[in-house]
Amino acid sequence: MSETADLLAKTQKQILDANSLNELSDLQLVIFSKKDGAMNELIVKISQLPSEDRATFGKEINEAKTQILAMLEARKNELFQNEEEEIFDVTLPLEIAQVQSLAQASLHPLTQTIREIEDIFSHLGFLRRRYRETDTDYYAFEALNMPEGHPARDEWETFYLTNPNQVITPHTSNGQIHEMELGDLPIRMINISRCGRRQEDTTHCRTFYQFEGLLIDENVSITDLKGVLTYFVHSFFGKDREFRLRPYNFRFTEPSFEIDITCGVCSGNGCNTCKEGWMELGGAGMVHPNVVKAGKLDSKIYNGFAFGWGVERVFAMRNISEALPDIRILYQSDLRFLKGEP
Amino acid sequence: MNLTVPHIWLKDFLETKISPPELARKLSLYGPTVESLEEIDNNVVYHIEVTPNRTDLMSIEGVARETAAILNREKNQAKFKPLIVSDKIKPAKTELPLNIECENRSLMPQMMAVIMDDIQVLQSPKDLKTRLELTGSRPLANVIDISNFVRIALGHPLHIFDYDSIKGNLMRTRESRKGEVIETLDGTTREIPAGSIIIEDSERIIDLCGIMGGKNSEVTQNTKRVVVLVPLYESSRIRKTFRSLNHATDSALIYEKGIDPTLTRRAFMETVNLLEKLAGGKVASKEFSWFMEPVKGASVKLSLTQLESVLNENIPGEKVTHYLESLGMKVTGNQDVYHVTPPSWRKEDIKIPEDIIEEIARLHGLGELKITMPGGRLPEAIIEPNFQFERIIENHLASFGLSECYSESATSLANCSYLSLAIKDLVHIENPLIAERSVMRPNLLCNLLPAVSNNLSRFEDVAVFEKERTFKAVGNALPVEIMSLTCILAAQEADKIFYTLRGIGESLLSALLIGNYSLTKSQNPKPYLMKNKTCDLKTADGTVLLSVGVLKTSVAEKFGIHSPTVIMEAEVETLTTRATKLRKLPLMLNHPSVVEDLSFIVPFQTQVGDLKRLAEFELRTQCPLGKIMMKDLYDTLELRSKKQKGITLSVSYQTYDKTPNPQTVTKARETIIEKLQNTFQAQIRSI
Repeated sequence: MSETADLLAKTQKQILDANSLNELSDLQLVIFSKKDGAMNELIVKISQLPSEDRATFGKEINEAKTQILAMLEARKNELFQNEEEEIFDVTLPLEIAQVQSLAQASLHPLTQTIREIEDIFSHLGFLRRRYRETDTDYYAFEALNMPEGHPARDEWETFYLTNPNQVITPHTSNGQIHEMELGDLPIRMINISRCGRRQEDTTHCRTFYQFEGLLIDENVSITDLKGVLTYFVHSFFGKDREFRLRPYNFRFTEPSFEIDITCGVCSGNGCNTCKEGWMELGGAGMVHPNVVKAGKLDSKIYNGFAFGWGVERVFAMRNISEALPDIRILYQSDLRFLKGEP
Repeated sequence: MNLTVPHIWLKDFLETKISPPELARKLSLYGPTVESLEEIDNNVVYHIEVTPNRTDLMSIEGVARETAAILNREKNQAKFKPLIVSDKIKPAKTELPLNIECENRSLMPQMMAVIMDDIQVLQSPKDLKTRLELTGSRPLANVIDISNFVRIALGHPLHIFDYDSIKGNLMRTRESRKGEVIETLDGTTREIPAGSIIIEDSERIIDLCGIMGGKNSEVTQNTKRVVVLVPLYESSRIRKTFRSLNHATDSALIYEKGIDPTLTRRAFMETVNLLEKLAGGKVASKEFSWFMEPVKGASVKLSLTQLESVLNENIPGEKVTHYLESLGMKVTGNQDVYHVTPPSWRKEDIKIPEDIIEEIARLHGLGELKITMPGGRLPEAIIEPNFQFERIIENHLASFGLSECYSESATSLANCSYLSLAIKDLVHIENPLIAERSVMRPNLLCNLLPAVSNNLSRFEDVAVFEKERTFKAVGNALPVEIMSLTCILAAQEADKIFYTLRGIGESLLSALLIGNYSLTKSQNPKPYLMKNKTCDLKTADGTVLLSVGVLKTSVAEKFGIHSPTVIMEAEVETLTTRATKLRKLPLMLNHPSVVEDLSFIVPFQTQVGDLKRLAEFELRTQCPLGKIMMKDLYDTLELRSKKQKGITLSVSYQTYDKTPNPQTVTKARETIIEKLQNTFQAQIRSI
């Protein structure tokens, strides 16, 4: 018997004798070990052979190596199979089962933020909703006064699905139309849901949450929006924070505003983290009559206001003094971040 | 869009004593937002964010006009000085030949052009250079600077060609065909998207309209004669072209959003005027031009009642008129209904009463409006209870030591294939940002398992959960979105963590007050779970509430996980729709029960929980309040050699009215022994 055949036979036996995946991977290490592995011993021998024999022997070794790898793979698959043959009592009553004790854990900061938002608005009679994350182009754009080909659509960095006219909604405003279509009036909705946009940097994630407020009734005024806004800003950020409305333009509201609140770091005096004492919270406005019509309501009777702000954004604005250099950490499931001290 | 406005340039159009910081603050509060105020070489510049509906603010003149309206909202603090241009160009002494043609007027609905001779290409004067530099545009030579200067001052793009480079005295505007190319001014050769607007001479394309001119006809040091072209283009085509080239120039963005048509003549006259003044140019052709039908001044009706209702404030009629007139609008009408006609530069923007209300609201001051709480009725709809039950789920899992995770909605095809998930169910993203996130996750494990793997490099045990949507394709219909729950435990001992997670699952059901479920080995385990180590918690009708299973080692390895890993999965709605808020109140009995231990020898493969369930069922046929606890499980060498194991059940006999008598106990015991014998080949060992 040649040396390679010898090695093959010996190794085959070892492989078949390995009864667990751990044993098998240990064995693999031993066989191919550079230091004193059996395979290596053979390779070392090549140099001691007369040069005319080297090629044949080398070929033999290579074949042996291939065969060993195949045997290892085969045994591994067998063991994977065996793993599922082992008798195991899935029904064992817990009073007798041994269990593992787990360390403390907590809710994700975004869950805590979402709950807080939900609760603040529920005091004002706003009902929590969670509308679709994937939606048709109609709900994400067209019904929101952004017809096909309108330049305003470009601002949303939208993900499209391969199905025609379907998107990952780039905002929670699709919920405005879904809610109005239910036809239950008056409407006070807070739609907290996932969105997606084609952008990623330290302040943007491809996946993010927004909360969308919608109030539809008769004779709704901008001053009502200011009231709800005041309640939210004071409840969420603190009574000492002030806000301002800046004129803006969105397709689905008219008039439209952007809302700034005073910076929590410098108390509105101006610093590195804000713009002259103000931090941008998000957009709001009086629902555009075309949107009310798209929601199948009579825009001559009903009007209202809407706003849509980022959950991560309000979370980050409140935690600005703490370390949150990169907002993407929220989506990385890193236990060092999630298991922080209380 | 953004516009950089140097204070000195603004002052060319505006008389005011207001300081730049105050001016910036007022603009932000009552008009376009000033993103920042910058000082460059003792000059102040404003960085202004222009919203897409206000292309009229994409010019220094436009910003000056708006600033004047804002500064004069209460008392006169500023005077707007619009640029005055002459009506007509000087007649040419000699006319140079040029044919301007247009295949289809909708491509270029309006334009003015002229040839100018005797051009001297020089440096621009200092004033002009400074203004351009402050806007961030690099001065090159007078002719080129003038076209930029006029565009920024008035907001109308234009192009100046070298007349002698144009072949065959022809400028023909047409739609581009597939496969045509142009080398643009910046030296880049671009393939022109089909359907773009281009200008060609008798031999080649010389302008990619609205985006950038052609290199072959650019103005150089040697230019002596030029063609000035001030055109309007079909916005949707410009948009398509720059979108597909992914090259948005300032001109393209302005064209896309639309330009006040009355600006064309003013921009043209100012360009000719500056070329005469600063480059010695002389008009050398007739004026080439064609114009659109002027848009009729459609007026918008504004009801003062509606205004008062939206603003919750009564603004006197003369104030309303003052605000609107300061923005260039014509106001007629009386009492309640005003007819408001927007100026040419706001025609596209002011179309409905709400547009007018916005103008009044902002000039009046959004900050000055009252703060009220919405009145009216509260919604009658009922709060969806799901959200409350979801809170219970989240709280429960976290308090049992599972850290809550959020991962992205999209995942990779590879992750799906590692889990052997059906390809046909996948929802694909047409334009993913990165290839590793090209499908919507069909399962929360897709993104959680990689996270578990990462965490295992730092932690010995990993216990996590996530609750969010998963997606399933349904042909061309919208994907089904399923609110899903996945818990993962990874630690050293597979059996131990299996029972731990199953226990957490069972206690979760009891927290949701879901009773009456059964626990059985899965008939149809997921392809990534070991079939011998997977169980389902099911309702009486067979709906799976939760399933718990050990991840196949072969799958775990693909995710780089080398610890035993147990997974619990559920569809959240299955849980929340069965959850209840009201707990059944227990009976408090005062009579003691009879308790005894029963020991059995059973075949090794017996699923003891099934046995216990049957025993309890039989017990309750005799003793309705009977209970069974598992007390011991043992195997000895002897038992093992016979492929058997031993169990001890602690049986508690109880009925509603009294402690069961010995006959009842005996009968119950015998029934249990008999049924266990028949069903599980359990031999009674001792009582």
